[in-house]
Amino acid sequence: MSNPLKNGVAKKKIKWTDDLPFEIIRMLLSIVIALFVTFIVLCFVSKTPVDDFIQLLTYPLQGKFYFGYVLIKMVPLTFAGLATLLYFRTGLFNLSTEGIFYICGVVCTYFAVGSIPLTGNGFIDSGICILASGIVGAIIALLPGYLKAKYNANEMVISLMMNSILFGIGFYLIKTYLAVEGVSGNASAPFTSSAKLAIIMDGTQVHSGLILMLIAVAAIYILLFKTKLGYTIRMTGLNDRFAKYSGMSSFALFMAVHLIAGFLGGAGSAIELLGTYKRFSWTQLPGLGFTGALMAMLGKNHPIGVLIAAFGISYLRASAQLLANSSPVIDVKLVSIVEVILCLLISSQYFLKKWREKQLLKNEKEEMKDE
Amino acid sequence: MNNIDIVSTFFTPAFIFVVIRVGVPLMFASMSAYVASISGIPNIAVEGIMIMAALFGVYFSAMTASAWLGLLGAIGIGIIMALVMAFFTMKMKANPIMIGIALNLFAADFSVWLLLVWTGSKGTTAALPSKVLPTIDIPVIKDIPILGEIISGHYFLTYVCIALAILIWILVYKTPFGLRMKACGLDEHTAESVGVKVQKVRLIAIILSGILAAMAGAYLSMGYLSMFSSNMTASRGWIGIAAEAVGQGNFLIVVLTTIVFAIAQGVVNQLILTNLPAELVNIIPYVCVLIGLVMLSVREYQKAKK
Amino acid sequence: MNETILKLENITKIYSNGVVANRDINIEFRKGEIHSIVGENGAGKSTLMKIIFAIEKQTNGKIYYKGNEVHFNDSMEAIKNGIGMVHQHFMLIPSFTVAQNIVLGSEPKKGVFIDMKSAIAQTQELAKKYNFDVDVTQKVSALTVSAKQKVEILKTLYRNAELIILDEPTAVLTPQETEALFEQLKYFKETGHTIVFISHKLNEVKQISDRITVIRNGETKGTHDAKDVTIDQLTELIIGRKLENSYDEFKKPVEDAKVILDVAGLSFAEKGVKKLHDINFSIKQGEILGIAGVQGNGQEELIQIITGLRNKQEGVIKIDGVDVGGMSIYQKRESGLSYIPEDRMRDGIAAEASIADNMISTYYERSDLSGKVFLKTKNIHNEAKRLIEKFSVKTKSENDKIDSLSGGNIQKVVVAREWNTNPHLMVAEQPTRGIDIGSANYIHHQLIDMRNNGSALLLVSADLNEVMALSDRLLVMYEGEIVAYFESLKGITESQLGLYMLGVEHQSEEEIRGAVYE
Repeated sequence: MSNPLKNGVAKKKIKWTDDLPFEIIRMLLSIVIALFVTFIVLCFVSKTPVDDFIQLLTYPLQGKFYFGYVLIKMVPLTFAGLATLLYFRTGLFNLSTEGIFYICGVVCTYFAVGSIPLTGNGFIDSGICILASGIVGAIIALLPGYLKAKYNANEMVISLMMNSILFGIGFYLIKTYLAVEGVSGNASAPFTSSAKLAIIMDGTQVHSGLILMLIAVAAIYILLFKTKLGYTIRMTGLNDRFAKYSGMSSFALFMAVHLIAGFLGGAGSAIELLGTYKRFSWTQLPGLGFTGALMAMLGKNHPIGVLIAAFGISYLRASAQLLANSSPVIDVKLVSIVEVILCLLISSQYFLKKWREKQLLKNEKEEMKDE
Repeated sequence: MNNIDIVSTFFTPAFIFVVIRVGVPLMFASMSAYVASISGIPNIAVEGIMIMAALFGVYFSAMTASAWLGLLGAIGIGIIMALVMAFFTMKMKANPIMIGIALNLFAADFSVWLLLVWTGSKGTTAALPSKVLPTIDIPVIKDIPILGEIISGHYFLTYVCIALAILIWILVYKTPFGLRMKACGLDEHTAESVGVKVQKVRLIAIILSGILAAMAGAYLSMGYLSMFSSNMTASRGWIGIAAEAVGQGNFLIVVLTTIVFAIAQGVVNQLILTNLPAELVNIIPYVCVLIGLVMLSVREYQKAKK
Repeated sequence: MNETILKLENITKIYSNGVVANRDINIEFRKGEIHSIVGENGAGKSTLMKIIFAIEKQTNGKIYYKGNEVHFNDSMEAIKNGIGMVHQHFMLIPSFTVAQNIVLGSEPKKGVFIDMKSAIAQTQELAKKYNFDVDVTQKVSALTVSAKQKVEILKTLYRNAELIILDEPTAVLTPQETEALFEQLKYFKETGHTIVFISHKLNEVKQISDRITVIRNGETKGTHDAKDVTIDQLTELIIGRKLENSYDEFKKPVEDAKVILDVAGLSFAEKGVKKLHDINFSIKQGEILGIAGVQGNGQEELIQIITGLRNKQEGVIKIDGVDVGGMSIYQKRESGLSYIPEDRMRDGIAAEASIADNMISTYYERSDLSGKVFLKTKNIHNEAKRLIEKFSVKTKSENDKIDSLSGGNIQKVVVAREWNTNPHLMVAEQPTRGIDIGSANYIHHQLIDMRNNGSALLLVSADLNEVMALSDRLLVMYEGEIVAYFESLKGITESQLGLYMLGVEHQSEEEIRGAVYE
């Protein structure tokens, strides 16, 4: 069989049909299409679609505070994205991060409102809250982890049922034990100031959770690509039969992955609460865990990709949320159009494939002429 | 009502009536998951299609002042979402699970945005003058004691649901198309090799799945309740998918499993009237599904061990 | 007899990844002939057949059927026009009955309903007419391999095929079953059917064909009358060089060989069906024990139990004298087991991972490749490079995805990885299936080298030539039992083995006991 790549070594020219450039083209075109569709939708509902659209794209750049808002929105998305990425990489479709975000928020609240005496030291107190949430998250995640590892139970449906169950239990705990009088809805007492995360950028709301987020991204990157555990995660996710044949134990691996992902979810929830909220006031599932699945998909299951995706989506979400007061049609939920289109196109193997094939065919024909 | 009274209301005709009432959307969802799954494209966007259909049903019925046109609108949006699913999984070779997750996320958020644009609020469509589908009293039967109490007087879509369940059974087990659907699900290459148009069969199955999920949504917002509220589907679509998973391709088991889940939901509807904490009572059906799935997996595990 | 039924003109097929599978192919098929297409694995035979059957579309070129140019959009159109295909991997749905499988896609109807009664009657009649002995109400999962093949052929006949393509039909059959199939094919010829027969077994091809077309590297090397060419000539056309029939000259004796693998009283049942019954044998250092047998006679289960993919039920397995029965795959590998799996794409590699990642999966915990937590990436890459060079894997870089390689090169990666742990026991299951002859030869030599260096090898292959060429000692399995044992292969012929493989003959207990070293 002749292989057109045999001449590839001689010509060191970058071709758009090579893997990485092609992937970038796909990504950029997806973004353009997603934004274009958003514009079309705005044309239907807005009297000033062009202005609205430009505002949506540029608003966060109009001030330090706004841009800081983008950065803090990234934090929970990245944590949820990293947790989900670990599941997806192992070949598990587990969406329990949503419920874990909620129940761990409750756990964090328990500590942050001073139910047990805190030290008053900001570093230690916020650390206790984050660690406690993370550990509870890890333990809860072990349940679907065990059911999957031992009995190969359908982790996706189980994780979704768990979300509803965790929400029910969490909300019950809040309502019964942590809610205070005099606040609308069911909200907890304010968090102790020593438990809250410090602001690290003047004139913004950017808190130290941003640094923790970057550390988490780096840690997951190293975990995936530089450690033995990461190697077994990747191999199992790509072909579980191959991993089994090679002697890797899926039981230990599944437990480890759930433990880490659960911890990331729990810690991410605490960081979000202590960084941006005054008190616990979630009366619905916050939707952050599900968005984690989105981040993992858009970021192509790569930690750096998740970070970039989280930035992109946070940028639009922050912009939409900031504009929501001034426009009747712009709302953070509008961004779901961009999200779904990106998701659909990026997970489409055949998107632009015809074009690439045509280019390859052209090259092949030219080579046949040369011969 | 005190707690002892509540237990005595179980398994009365009124209770069975309630079980049917809460079971219909679950049954639609199960059937939706079932027809897609046996033809080889798991449709996990059932929940998302239900939400969108529930909203569009209300919107169209309010716009046209007709419940029937509202239902058509709901089915229309169900078909559109099914087509999106079909296009990306079949033509663009995307992973159906990923597409399903994406559509669910989209539906959950976008429905709220539409709600905001249409009503100015993110809560409910109470402001829209929407219509509900009629209930039907079956002549003669409605006068029979007990039986009449149980099976007469339900919403129009309840009877549609029962009729469709029978039709789907016939379709899958007694027609050439059913044989082909199963073949596509079991081994698409084999189906293709004998000239079965796999893409076409799957397209029809997914559209059917979309219509069924849409009816579940319409039932919720144009019968069960008379308005749309955000997140009103409350994981019912996922319960349908769980029932499908338990049935493993056997339609009768899927139906029976759904009925068990419906009974759990019926119990909730009674218990909610007591002074037990509502948040905890509400999780009963989800716990039942969880236990059902775990039992199924343990059984499979033990079977495999033998 | 000379009327052309199908004509291929300048058929070229370039796959989307740039691989040229067919280039300017020209062949004429005559009505009522048995026309063989021969060539190495990967020469482009299967692609060509897929183009005829409209599973793939040609990039260039024309197809004429019964004198008219045709553009079938899908297999259905090919089927409607009287072309039938029996695929190499059976296209049958195990949980359906024979009748359901046969009528699928062209079901008899009563109103809108499927008419199962008439489906059963029609298929039964068809089986009778062509002397096929199959119970059409049985589920396909309960059938033997040769019965499944009969169902496949019945499927084409049910659709009134005039031209039947058989893609390597004899690969899974015993010599005796092959004979029976050939009788059948000759009968089809008499009834006016045209047979396109694809194979790389030249003896068979020469025996059954009227004409033979050779394909090499995606190009035709001419069509010949079967009676006018010799097997030697065909061999040269196919590969340009002669095949090795035995590796005896490369084998060296190993001194003081001790017993490595000991299997005693192994039995296994699944869903109440006995898959293995009282298996006993042992292997010493420096020898290759071959297992011959038609696929599906317990070899798969035996291998899976020895390697740990399945749990043992009864009996004892010892490696180096240590009972490994309850061990995990990991522990078994630690005690010196290596395993080349039957299906490399399914079990042997992670297709989306790099060559380097695939090269170390069974020993990445070795102290020079990783520490307690971290991988030693640099060493891993050096190790991969070293193996790529040693096993002459054709690739640009160890960072390339492994699925960018050809089948032969992928298999070399698998063999390199399994070789690299310096195994006491190497289990090789179909080690050269579906790869080019060059790579196969290379892999055979590697296996011999391992043998000469003191490993014990267990070789299972459906390719009788391969087992006979490599093995020092040989077992034959039939229906989960060992039915024959040969101390040496000197003077043993294929057809002798065939009698055991088919269960016609059975050695005495005592003879079979010889497989165990006391």
